[in-house]
Amino acid sequence: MGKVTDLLVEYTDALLQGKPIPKEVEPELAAEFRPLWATVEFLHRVLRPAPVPSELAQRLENRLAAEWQKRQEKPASIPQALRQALEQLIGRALSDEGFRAQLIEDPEKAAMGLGLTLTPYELAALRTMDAHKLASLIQDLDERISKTSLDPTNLSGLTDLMER
Amino acid sequence: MAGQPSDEILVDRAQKGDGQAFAALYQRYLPRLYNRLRALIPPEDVEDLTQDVFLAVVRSLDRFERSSTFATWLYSITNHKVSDYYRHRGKQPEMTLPSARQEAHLVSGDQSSSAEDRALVRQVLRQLPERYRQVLLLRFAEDLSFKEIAQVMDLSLEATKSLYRRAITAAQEEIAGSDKVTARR
Repeated sequence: MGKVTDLLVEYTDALLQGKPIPKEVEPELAAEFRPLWATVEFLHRVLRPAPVPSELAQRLENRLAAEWQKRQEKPASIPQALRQALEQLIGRALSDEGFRAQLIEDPEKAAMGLGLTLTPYELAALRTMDAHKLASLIQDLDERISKTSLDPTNLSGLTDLMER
Repeated sequence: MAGQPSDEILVDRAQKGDGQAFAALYQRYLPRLYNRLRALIPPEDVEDLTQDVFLAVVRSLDRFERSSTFATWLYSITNHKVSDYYRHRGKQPEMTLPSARQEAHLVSGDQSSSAEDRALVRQVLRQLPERYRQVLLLRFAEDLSFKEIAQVMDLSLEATKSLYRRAITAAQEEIAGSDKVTARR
């Protein structure tokens, strides 16, 4: 059984690589396993890989480039851990003018001051936040919260609002 | 592959928005996917399905959590798309001989002589268990070595060869069975 498997593999490799059939396989070709060799030959003939037509590749590339562009324009969702940290930070900033200034000045320090343990990735995300955008975001949220029934002490779901 | 970034690195970069990394993945897998789909569906639909698979990859790339390799994930998406394709086509046998002859008119030159054979192979592949189909497609349509197939399928080399032998035997039996069906028509 093992011998036939090895011969079948050798025969397949030789056929697909266009090499001469190994000598030890030759006597087996006419033996009881002939239908297996014939199946390998048949599959090789029918499934032989073909080059991708260049026009097709180009059409696909153009279509995918357009889809990739759409993907890039879509705002990335905020990861769960960062979402919770932001909710705490912004919640505090909304009720504490001093903390708000500190958050805009140095978000990383503000987060540490609040005892938040953030991963390097989350800290990096905080560091890349634009101070002006953060200030206007907090201002905007402040105004929106004052117009809604959202409880400023329970801000779960706040970042859903931010992502809209 | 020597000197080229691994799939894992390219996926990581692509997930962070690097379009060139995604383009590299696309260039790496397009020939394999194209030939896999040529083996599984009629030629007139290969381009559309290839596009569908890659679009699905772009749209769900952020959700790929790397619990499997990128190749395995891509094949999984491909399998779903091929299943959907045949579900939408209906449950009639995909290729009876007359429709295979019709297909022969869709392709040109010396390829036309094997249109019926290709229809038969599609039919046979669809009848085989997934692992048998996978090992045959990786070896014949994607031209991977047995060593590479072992890596893709997460098997030892010996287990891969043994699986291959069983797959060839099963394919041979399916082909013999379909010959009898054809002869009765």
